[in-house]
Amino acid sequence: MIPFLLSLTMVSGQARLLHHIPPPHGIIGEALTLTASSLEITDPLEATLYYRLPGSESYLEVQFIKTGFNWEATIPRFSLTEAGLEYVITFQFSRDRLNSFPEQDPFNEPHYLSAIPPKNQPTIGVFGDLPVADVLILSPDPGALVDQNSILIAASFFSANKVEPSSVQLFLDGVDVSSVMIFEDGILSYDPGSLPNGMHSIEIKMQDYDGEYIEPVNWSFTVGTERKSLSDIVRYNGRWNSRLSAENVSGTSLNIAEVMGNFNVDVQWANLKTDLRLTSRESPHAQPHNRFGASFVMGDILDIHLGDHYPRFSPFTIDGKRVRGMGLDANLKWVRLQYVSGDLNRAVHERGGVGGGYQLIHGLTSTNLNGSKTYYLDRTGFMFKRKVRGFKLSTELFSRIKASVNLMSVRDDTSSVNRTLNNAIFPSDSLVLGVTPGNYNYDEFNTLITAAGHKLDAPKSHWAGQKPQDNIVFGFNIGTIFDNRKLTLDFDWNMSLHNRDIWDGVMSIADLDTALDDSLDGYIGLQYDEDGNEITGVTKISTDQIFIDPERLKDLFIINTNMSPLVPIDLNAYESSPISSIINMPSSAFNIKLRGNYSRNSILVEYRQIGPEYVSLANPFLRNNTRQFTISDRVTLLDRKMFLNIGFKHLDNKILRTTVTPLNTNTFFMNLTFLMGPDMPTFVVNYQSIGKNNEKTRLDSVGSQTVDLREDSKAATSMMAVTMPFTSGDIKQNLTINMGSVANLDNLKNKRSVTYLFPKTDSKTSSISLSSTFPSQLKTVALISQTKLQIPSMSGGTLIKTPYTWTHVSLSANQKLLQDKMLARGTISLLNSKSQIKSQLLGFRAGTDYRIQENLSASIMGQIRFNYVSSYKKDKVDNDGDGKIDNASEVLDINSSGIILTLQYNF
Amino acid sequence: MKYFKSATIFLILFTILMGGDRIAIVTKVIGKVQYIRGNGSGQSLKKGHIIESGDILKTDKGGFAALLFIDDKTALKVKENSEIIIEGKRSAQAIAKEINLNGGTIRAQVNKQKKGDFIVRTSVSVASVKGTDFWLISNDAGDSLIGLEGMVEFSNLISGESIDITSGKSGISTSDGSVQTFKTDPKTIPEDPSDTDSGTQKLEIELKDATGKKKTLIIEYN
Repeated sequence: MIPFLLSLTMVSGQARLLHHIPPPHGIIGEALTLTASSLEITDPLEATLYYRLPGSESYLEVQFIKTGFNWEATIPRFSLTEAGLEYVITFQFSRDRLNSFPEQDPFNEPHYLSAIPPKNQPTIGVFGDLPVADVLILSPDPGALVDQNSILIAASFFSANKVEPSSVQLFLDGVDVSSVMIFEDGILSYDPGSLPNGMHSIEIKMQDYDGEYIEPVNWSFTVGTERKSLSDIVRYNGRWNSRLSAENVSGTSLNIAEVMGNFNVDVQWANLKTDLRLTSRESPHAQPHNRFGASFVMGDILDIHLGDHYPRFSPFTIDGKRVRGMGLDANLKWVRLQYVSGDLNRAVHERGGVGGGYQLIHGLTSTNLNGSKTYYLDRTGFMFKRKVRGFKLSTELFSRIKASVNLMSVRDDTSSVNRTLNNAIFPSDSLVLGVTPGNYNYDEFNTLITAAGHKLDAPKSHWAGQKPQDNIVFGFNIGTIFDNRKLTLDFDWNMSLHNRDIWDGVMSIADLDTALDDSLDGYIGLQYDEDGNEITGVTKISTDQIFIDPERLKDLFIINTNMSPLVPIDLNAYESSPISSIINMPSSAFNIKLRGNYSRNSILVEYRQIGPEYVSLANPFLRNNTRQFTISDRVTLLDRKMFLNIGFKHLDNKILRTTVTPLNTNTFFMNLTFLMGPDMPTFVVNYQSIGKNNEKTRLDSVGSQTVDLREDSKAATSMMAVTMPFTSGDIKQNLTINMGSVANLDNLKNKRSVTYLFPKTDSKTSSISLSSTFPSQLKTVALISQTKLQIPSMSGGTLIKTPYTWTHVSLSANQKLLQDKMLARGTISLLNSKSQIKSQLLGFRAGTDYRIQENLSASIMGQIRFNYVSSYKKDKVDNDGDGKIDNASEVLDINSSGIILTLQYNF
Repeated sequence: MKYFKSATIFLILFTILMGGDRIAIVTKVIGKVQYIRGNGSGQSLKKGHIIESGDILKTDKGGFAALLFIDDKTALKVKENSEIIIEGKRSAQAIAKEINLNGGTIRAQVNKQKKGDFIVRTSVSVASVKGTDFWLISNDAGDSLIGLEGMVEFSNLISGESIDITSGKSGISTSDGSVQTFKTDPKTIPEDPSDTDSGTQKLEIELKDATGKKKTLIIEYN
């Protein structure tokens, strides 16, 4: 595959856009780097790639790294499975402004990316492991120490009667030796002769008579003579990588230094892995950018994680969110215990830097009886430490029934944030009487305001910003496998308790008594008339019926009036339809999933519902108040050369009966991938149709005006990519053609006012890429692409669609030199932007990788980009602020430049 | 259909006539070892050779062969100056194995048998096991069986007497029909060449020059 990624930028600051052309497909088991560009003058504060398995509830995050022209993020190889993946790119700017790809509703309608198998590689089944064949390893024994002259690779297929003999392939150290192996009457043998000392790996790949892949058989052995030295018992390896970048983008400097490394120690029965990333972006004013973690693995039995790790219990609890603390996974085959304890967030005292800790709230200024003022100084810019604890206990019985229970608690630590910041600077303006406008710290301001005869109210808690929260999630899963493991049924159910504000702590039973009424009478909700008589018809609950004392549970969950649900079940609905009311409890979430794997079809039928009050703070991507039905089928055809993924998804928020105008989203998706074979063309076609309607038939009134909030639209996204490998003389080439479009249709267009703004952008993209590999080891990639957008806006009460067109041409080349010790790389690119302002960006990028020693390599990469805007010469404006109008330097300037140095050492 | 049946029968007969079931693979050969198939002459046995039912293996002085059965990885090791006939009948589930030891020393590391017992016959004795590890030494005077693991039923063909040999015990079966058991003298346990590799020892000396370049000097000795 040729990574089909483009970099486009524009100089106009009018549009708030993110540019990204998705690759035609990923490759199963291979990492995928995505590239995106911001089309704004300023760089985003944060650029994040979110990705997940199609239909999953939560996303995993990868931060983009700026690489001069573009921002790049790499999806790890294990995430590319047969099911493909869905991803969202977000560029976050100041004031919480967000640009995203896809542009519309990205987290609910992420971009789907199909994944194709690597050439000559088997694929992993989307619905679980591949079927296993009973292949008997004869020689060498797994893990055996073998004499150099006694190596024979042999395996028996005596009991593996489903294996198609002609499909059996043998790989020694990753090299296909099938052509020289002997496979007769179910016996595979291969005499490799003398092999070098050290560890060697064997892999047998095979298919059944239907052409379906079977789980490969892998094992390894060591060639050498037995030496009872420590190095035989203890093995270690690691990598150390340092990166230094100095860049300047539109006058803004960005210098980053990073050190990354990992170190693994293997003592045969156990394995210790450590990972580390130290970056100059680390700041006490934000969540950590540094990463450090260690994992201790004892075979398949025990995993212990310390530091940063990413536990996964279920989509409804925690599903890959980073935790800094401890994790444990003990798997004893029939019972498995997962445990996590640590911090989801660390405490931040001043977000964004010194000066973000206080804010005067003039709206809360009060006047005292003597006419003086009391000013309210609120504590802002903080984040509480968010602690998480949880476990999941699973069991599998008779290889048929799976069941688990889980409990997870997340709580903000109100004591983790400093109550007073002595050095924090905050601004005071002329609205504060008697104090000269300026910047002050707390002590200075308090002194001045007291001297002026006023008072300062700076609360130690209950600040106006973020509220400390508490959350507990508990649930279970039960599943079964039947029909010869072809069909699986899973049911997950979870319920949450969420407290939105725990500043006041836990309520006592007496507090509950007076929570809804003022009388401490032993009843909650009981009200009285003026004569003290009980008002009939009001729901009342005796405090004697409260079998849980909130104070006893405070270590697990803080119960007070800010919690939801106060009552987990709708009692009125329960009387009329008890089952429905239990299922539709607003704080519950459940999922029923049926998966089948029949005759090259992978079928999924799933219903998922997340109540409007369901919250898991450990999974911030969970979208509540949704119910979703999905049916899909992935079919493999033509001897696994063609893959068709087709399905339908309905999403709405009709859980509560009180929902008046539910938003319905119907998505039809189809993905066709056709891999004709090695050195043959590859075709990918994606189509997705998203229909949305909110069942509104009338206009709404806001004050004296009417607003049109009706939604009935359709968005059709299509993409077609063709990759054609061919050879011209001695040159191996790959030609990729990619075309895509997004078309939005407003079904209510004829019924709306002419002044209505249908705020969805149509786009068309097309590109051609040619990659060539020359006999001299020169590799080149030539790329031409064009993107057209139609951005709607209102101008003088009229709807207009402003066209934006970006045309991008680039040529990249790399060449190995000095007996492959050096790799020289270079790129030249030109971007022509045609919109309200025409501009061109000419970029150069060059660098080299050099292998200094066998395990030590260094690389240097520099880039510079020039910005040419011809219209600046005649606009009679000083665009570059040098005091001269329409001079030559306004037309051409350096848009960005930078240099990146990396050093890598493997040991 | 008639032709199909005829063709099937022909193929089965052809297969039977052309050779025995393939039942094992040779994983190690030291020294001179020959195999004889059918009415053919002796041919040199090599690592990777696939044993068919009825094959005869002969080891000369200093010779050694190790083979694995393909259904359950049962190992058979044949020491020097030995002759065996390896027979096996394949079914869908397993191979029924029988070794005829015409003299010499063998070690059988028998995994649990799915079908019948693993049987070793000599001219005077039968050793029958489900799953175990033992040596069997056969010569003109009789047979000696040394139990290493599990249990072997050791029978004398002449008298019909049988004894159970367990780990740490040995049994003797002689041509006069007697069988007896006694505690194993460790000194009598034959050396397994496959446990000590090829018998050649190596001394490796790693040398490093001023630039850090490494070279290894290997000295092989017996």
